Order: sequence, then C-alpha cells, then structure tokens
Amino acid sequence: MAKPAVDLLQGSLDLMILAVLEKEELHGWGVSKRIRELSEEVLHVNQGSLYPALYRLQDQGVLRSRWGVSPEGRRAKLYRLTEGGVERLREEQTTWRLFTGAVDLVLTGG
Amino acid sequence: MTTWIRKQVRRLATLFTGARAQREVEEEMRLHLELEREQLIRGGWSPEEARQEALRRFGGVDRHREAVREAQGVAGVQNLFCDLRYALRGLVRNPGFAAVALVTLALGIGASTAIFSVVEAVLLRPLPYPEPDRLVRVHPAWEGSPNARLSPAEYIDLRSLEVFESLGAYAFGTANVTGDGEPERLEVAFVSGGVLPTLRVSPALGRGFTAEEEETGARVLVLSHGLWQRRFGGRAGILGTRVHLNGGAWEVVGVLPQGFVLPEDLGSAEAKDAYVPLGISPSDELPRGSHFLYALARVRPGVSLDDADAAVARAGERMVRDHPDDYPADMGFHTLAPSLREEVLGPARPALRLLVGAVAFLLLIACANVANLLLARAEGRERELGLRRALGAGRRRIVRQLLVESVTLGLLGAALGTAVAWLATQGLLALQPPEVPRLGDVGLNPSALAFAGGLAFLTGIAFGLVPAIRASQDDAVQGLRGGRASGGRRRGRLRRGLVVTQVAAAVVLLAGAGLLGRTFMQLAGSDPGYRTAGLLTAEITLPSSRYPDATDVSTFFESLAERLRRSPGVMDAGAVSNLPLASSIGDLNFHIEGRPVAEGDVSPRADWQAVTPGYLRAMEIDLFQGRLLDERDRADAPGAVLVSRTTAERYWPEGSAVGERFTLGGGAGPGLVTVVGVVEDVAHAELGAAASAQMYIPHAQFRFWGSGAPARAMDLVVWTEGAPADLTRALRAAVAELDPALPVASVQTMETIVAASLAQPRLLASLVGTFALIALVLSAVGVYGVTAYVVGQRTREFGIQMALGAEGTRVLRMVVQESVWMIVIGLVLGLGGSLVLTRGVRDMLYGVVPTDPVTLTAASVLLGAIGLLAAVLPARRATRVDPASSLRAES
Repeated sequence: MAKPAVDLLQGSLDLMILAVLEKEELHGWGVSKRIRELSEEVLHVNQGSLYPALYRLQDQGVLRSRWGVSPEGRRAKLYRLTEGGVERLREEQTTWRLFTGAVDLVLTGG
Repeated sequence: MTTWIRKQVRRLATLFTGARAQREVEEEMRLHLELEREQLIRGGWSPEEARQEALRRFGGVDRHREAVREAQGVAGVQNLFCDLRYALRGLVRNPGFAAVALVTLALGIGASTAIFSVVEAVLLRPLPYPEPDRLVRVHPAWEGSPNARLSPAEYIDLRSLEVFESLGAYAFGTANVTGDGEPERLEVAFVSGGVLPTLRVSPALGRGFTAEEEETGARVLVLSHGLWQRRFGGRAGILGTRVHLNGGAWEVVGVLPQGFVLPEDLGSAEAKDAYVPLGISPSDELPRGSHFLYALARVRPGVSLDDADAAVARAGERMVRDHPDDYPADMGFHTLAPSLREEVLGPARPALRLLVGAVAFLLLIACANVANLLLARAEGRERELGLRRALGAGRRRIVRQLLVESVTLGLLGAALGTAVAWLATQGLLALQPPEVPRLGDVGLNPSALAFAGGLAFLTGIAFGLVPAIRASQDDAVQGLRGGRASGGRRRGRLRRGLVVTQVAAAVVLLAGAGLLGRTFMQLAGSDPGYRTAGLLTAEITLPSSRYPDATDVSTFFESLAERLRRSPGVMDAGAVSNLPLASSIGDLNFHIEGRPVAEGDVSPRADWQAVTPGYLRAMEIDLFQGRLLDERDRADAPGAVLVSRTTAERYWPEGSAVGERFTLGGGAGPGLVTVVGVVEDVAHAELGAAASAQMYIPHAQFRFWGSGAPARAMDLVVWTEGAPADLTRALRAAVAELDPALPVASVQTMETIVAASLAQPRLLASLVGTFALIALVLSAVGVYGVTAYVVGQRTREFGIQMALGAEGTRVLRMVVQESVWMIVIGLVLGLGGSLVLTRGVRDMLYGVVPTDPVTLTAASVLLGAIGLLAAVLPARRATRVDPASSLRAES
C-alpha cells in the first residue's frame, strides 16, 4: 500500500525538517507526515533517524521544543525553529541548490 | 559560543533530569507509534497488524533509545554512571581481587598522603606571621661557626640599616616566678622593642614595650597567652599588676595573642612564658665579643631579600674594618641575612625529601601490583569483553569502561588510604619528633584529602591504562571462543616487566632502610664519653636577689650535692652549666701563656662548662692525664681547668697539656688557669657529632665575663644505683630543704634525654623501614602472582611434558627459572639504583657509607630469598598437575 520509500541522506533530512518546521510547529510524527505529504508520498522518513535528527538539531540550538497539545488533541512535544534555525535553513537551502545544480550539470553533460 | 555553553549546561543538567528526559522520550515515541497505528487502521489495516506495522516502520525501539541518547550528547554522562555501577558490581563479585587491590592501594596512597600532610605542614605552609616572606634572620658567621649569634654592639650597628623596616633582637633565659601559686621556673625571652613590630604581632591585651623601657631595661613584662591562662587564671585585670620574678617586682603591661611563638619555638610545643625588655641601648661600652643575640628583620617594601643580604654583608665588612681587634682576619667574620623561612625549614628538608622519595617508591610498587592484578583479571574477562565488542561497543568505549573501573578502584583505595593516613599521622604526632618545625600542625585537612583524591585518579589511570588498552585490543571473536588471545604472550612480558620494576624499587627501599637502621643503631650504640644510664637530671636557677654573692651560689650547689649523696642509692651528684644533649654550649677564647696571638690570627677557643667536682664523677667522664677537678679547686685556690683531648691535641700537640697555663678571654673568672688534667671528649650537641674542643672550669671559681657573676643557672646530675626516676621526690625534697621557694625544672632521666636526641634518626629508620617491609611483601605478592600466571598458562604444556616422562623437578625448575630471571634482573637494577640514590642521604648517615656492601648484600639476599620462595610456591603446584587432566583442560 505504501509507495516505495526512498532512503534519505542525513543532511537532506535535516534540511527538510527545518523547512517543514519553518511553516508551523509540529511534533515528530507530524513532521514525518508532512514530509510524506509535501513530497507526494515519495519520501518516507526512516523513523529511526527522525528522532535522533530532531534531538540533534535541538542540541545544536537550531530547534526549540515544548510540551503542548497536538492537532489531534494529544499531549505532545512540539518543535519549532529558533532564529538560529531560520538562518541555518537559509544556508542549507543555498547549499542544496548549489549542490543539486552542480549535479544536474554533470548529469546533462555540461 | 553561547550555544556551546548552553549545550554543555544541558548535558550536565541531564545528570539530574536524566530520568525525566527518558520518560519524555518514551512518551514521544509512544505517541508516534499510536498516531502511526491509527493512520494505518484508517487505511484499512487490522488493529493488531497495524500495531506491528507501526513498530516495524519505526525500526527498532532500543536502537532508537540508544541513538536518541547519543544524539542528545547525554551518552557520555549516563554511560559514566553505568560504568561506575558496573565497576562496583565487578568488585563485589570478585572479593579476593578487590581485597588485595584495595589493601595495596590503601597502603600506597595512605602512606603517600601521610607524608604529604607532613610536607605540607612543615614546608609548604607559610610561617605564621603576616607577609612572612619579607622576614630575614640576621646573624654573623665565622671560621668554625657558620651559624653564630650577634653581639650587642653588632646588633646596634645593624639596627639602623636602611634596607630594614624594622629589626629586633632577643635572647633566652629563665626566671623563677613566685607568688600567685607554686614557685615555677619560666622560660623567658629578652626582646628588643623591634621584635613585635618585625613580626607584626600586637599584644592581645595591653601593649608592648616603649622605646624608653627598652633602653633602660625597665621591669615590665608581657605575658604569653598560655602563662596568663595557666598561672593567672586568664583574669581580665592582669594589666598593671605586679609579678615576682627572681625576687623582684615586674609590672605586667601586655598579654600576647594565643598561638604566638618566636621562630625558634615553631618546632616545640610551647612558646616562651614571658617577654621582658632586652635593655640594650646604644653606648660605646657595649660588648662586641659576646655573641648571644638572635635577630630578625623585616625587609623594607620594594627592597629584595638579596639586596638586604648584600647590605648586611657590607655592614659586616665595615665592622671588621672599624674594629680590627675584635675581628682578626683569620676569623673570617661576616654577617648575613638569609630568609627566615629557609632558616627555619631548611634543616627539615633533607629528611622530608628522603621520605618523599621513599614513599614514591612504595607507591610505584603498589601501582605495579595493582596493574598486574588488572592484567590478570583481564585474562578472565576475555569472554565478557569479546561479547561487548561483538555487540558493537567501540574500542574507546571499552577502554573508557575499564578506566572507570580502575579509577573507581583508585578512589576506593584512596578512601581506605585516608584512614591509613590518619592513623599514620596520629602515630607520628604521638612520637613527637623534636626539631621538626610545625610538626604539631600536621593533620588531615582538605588539602590532604584533595591530594589523596588526585593521587587516586592519577594512579587509577596509571595502572589501568595499559591493561585497558591491551584488553580492548583483543580479537573479539577469539575472546568469545574463550581462547587465549595472542596478546597473552605480550601480556606476559609486560607483567614480568612490572615485577622487575617492583623488585628493583623494593631493593632500593630495603637498602635505604638498612642504611638508616644501621645509622640509628650506630648512633644509639656510640659512646658519648659519659654515662647515660642511672642518671637523673634537673634544671635549677638561683635568683640573684636571694643569692647575691658567688659564695652563696657555690655553697648552695655544694650543700645540695652533699644532701643528695646521703640519699639511699645515690652514688654521686654534681652540677654543670649546660647538660650535654639537653642544652647548647658556647665557646670562649683564651690566651695561652707565652704564646701571644699573632696579628690576624684567631685566638684559641674551646666550648666551656662550669662544673662541680661531683659532675665529672657522676657522668664518669674518663680521665686521660693528670687529675680531675675536685674539692681542692675552691674560689680562693689557684685557677684550675680541665681540657678535653681534642683541645690538648689542638693547642699542645707536643707533650702533655698538663701544667700549661692560659688566661680565659673577656676577663672571665678565674682568669689565669693551669691545666690540671686532660679528659676524654664528650658528645655535646648530638650523639655522633665530631668532637669539638672543650674545657671544664670549676664552678666555685668561674665568673662570667663582663658582669663577673657566678653561674647561677645550672643543670643538676645525680647518679643512682636504682632507677633514676624513683629519685625524683628525694631530689625535690633535698632542694626544698635548702630553699623551699626554689623551683626545680625539667626533671628527667638522662636516658630520656638521650632517647630524645635519637628521635629523628629513629623516626626516619622506622618510617623507611616500614615502607621497605610493605614493599617487600608487595613485591613477593607480585612475583607470586606472575609465577602463578605462568603456571596457569602453561598447564597444558607441563601436562604433556610430564606425560612424556619428565620429572616433576624438571618442570619445577623450568618455571622457577623464569621467575628467578625476573628477580635477578630486578636485583641488579635495584642495586644499581641504590648505588646512585643512596648517595643523596649521605648526610643523614652515621657510621655507614651510602654504598655499604653489608647493607646492600643483606637487602639483596633478603629480597632474593623471599622472591624465590614466592616463585617456588606456585611452581610446586605445577609439578602436582595431573598430566591427564591438564591435557583435557579447556582450551
């Protein structure tokens, strides 16, 4: 029933988490669902990597968390970007575009 | 930067919030699984399949937990606690190993901490005066007297030097206090007005002396805190009252704060009881040749101690130029101002250095033992560690865990060691070794505990690191299979190397202990030149108020001796001005008849004693030529003197000194004396010291230079057949019969005095001997352990050999041979080390040279024998191996 999941590189996972959380405050499951939705079911987050990534980003001061109420009405730990997070997101986006642009050039033969 | 700080704070905070963080992670994970499950159910999955699919998709709950913890950076701290608990459990499960390791460490760390406490109290702590590093002792020195005292004229000359903020001089004496209780003999310090300001001490009550009081020598005094409490009940109205000293009335003008002592008293238990003005004022008639003043100065701010020393040296040169008669060129007179700290603490340094070195060796041996124990234990844990490696623990993780174990061992050992150290310091204080300054301040204070803790860490890492690294290197698969890893052979070399080190260190300690022990025995057995058993001594000072004339003084001592001789058991009694080993002696110059002193030469001098005839007989000082002083040598008789052999040989090398005549210097009575006899040298300052020139002047004839006063402060000596201590009451009674108001001080047997003078050599020998004994035991344990290990390793091999017909003794010899090599190499290295290191203690030895072959041989033989025994015991087990069972033994 699930579309083939594409395993993601850790770096791009961080970037996507940041992008998703720029728009709204979400809990872990919500982030995973959001990424699935936005990528039109192409990208399924390896859930074993999700929470370590969230905690890592939080440890780095890029995300902040609080305990609140989820959209489903449950008590959940909600994550959002810090100001540093926004900066980091911009940087990562720039790097990503450069990277993928370069790869594109190589693939299309220059 | 701040994010990093916040990160570290967060990490540390998890120490406390760890549990709660765990719960939150769990809760988050549960919610995730629930939401996933619900979505699946909505998508058509059955509840049970949905649950399983959710779990599957999540991908490993435990790994998740681990990964989360790692990501949080909490791993380190929590792992630490994990390792700690694991380490403690490991110790409980291996009580034998734990016991041996902990006892070894307790001994090593405990002894080290005890010695550290001593070093800290004696050497490291600053002197108990404000800004003590600005204080210097000012003193002269000359040929034969490197540490002399100042004369009044010299003191006045130096007092005005610009480099000093202040300078004070003092001398010590005794006085009898009466009224307000029993007559008591007080230790009195005569201090100039500069002493208290130099030490920056103000009286707790009242004031010090005014300049006028000092100049005129007024009858005012300042009490010590102790005396104030003890004799005057600590009463508030003490100021202004009068105290009766030596028959005169003195007014109390101040009381010093509790705990104040002059630098000379830093080693002893008590301060001087009272302080009176020195009474020296500038005048032309101040004596320049009587050197009896101690002096201290505080260097002016901004002036270096070297500059002060140079200024004092220049002043000394001026003195020599201005008073050539008093300072002949040959005398080599000069003045110096070394730092007070150095003067007080310097003498203790060599002994302390020796102790630090000895305890360091002991610690080395202890650590080598524990390292060996850990290596041995690692063998038994191959399986366990292999399992951990297979489960994914990295090398660093394993090393860290093992280090936590060894540091835990170290800390527990240190905790036990603190108890050992406390016991050791209590014992040390009980021994009360004299002449070690500030030993009374030794205690287990926070710095000692910190030292023990730090040592625990360092030793834990020292003995744990290599075993840990070795253990982590092992092939995990091999370990799981339980096979002997190839590292076994490498480990064997390391363990043998450790034992060699132990043996070598133990040899050095044994050699050192042997040398010190022989020194002590030589000193104790040395002949001081007088009797030491059966003597009771006491100090008596006759106040000039009640004994104004010289005849009163000599009559008193004669009558007292008479009375004492009549007591049962008493063989003889006499008095001397300075009892050997108990008080210091001074020297006096003299002019030999017919032998004028050439320009620039030093005049003859000898240490002088005023003695009653009974003294020489009671002390059994041997006569060499001529006759002893006796009752013939009264005040009106011709001046007589006894000289010691050294004096006779030095000044009358040809022929006999008997009959020669000389005049005592400085106008000391009786002036012109004839040598009536030559006696053997006696040891005065300490046992075993080189003999100095000595002379004995009849007490009835002797008069001090300058004042012409007789010797009023004398040490009484009574020779008895029975136990000298039993004579105490008879002694006091005899004195009381003659003068009830006269205090008798310091009643002690000569044996006590001799024992006290031997206290330091005895202490050093005991301490190092104890270390050496512990080292011997630990080394034997080390040898035993490694031999047993080798036996265990090669059990199979032996089994094969014996099955093939080899005799038990041959197998035994093989095993012992290896251990013997260890011991022999260790002995050789240790002997080499001893030859080098014992030179450092040369100055503390007496009667033995540092390379004494007897001691070194004995140490080697002892260690070799014990080592051999320790090797043979486990080797014998090897021979009892049943060949069949060893072949079947697990691989």
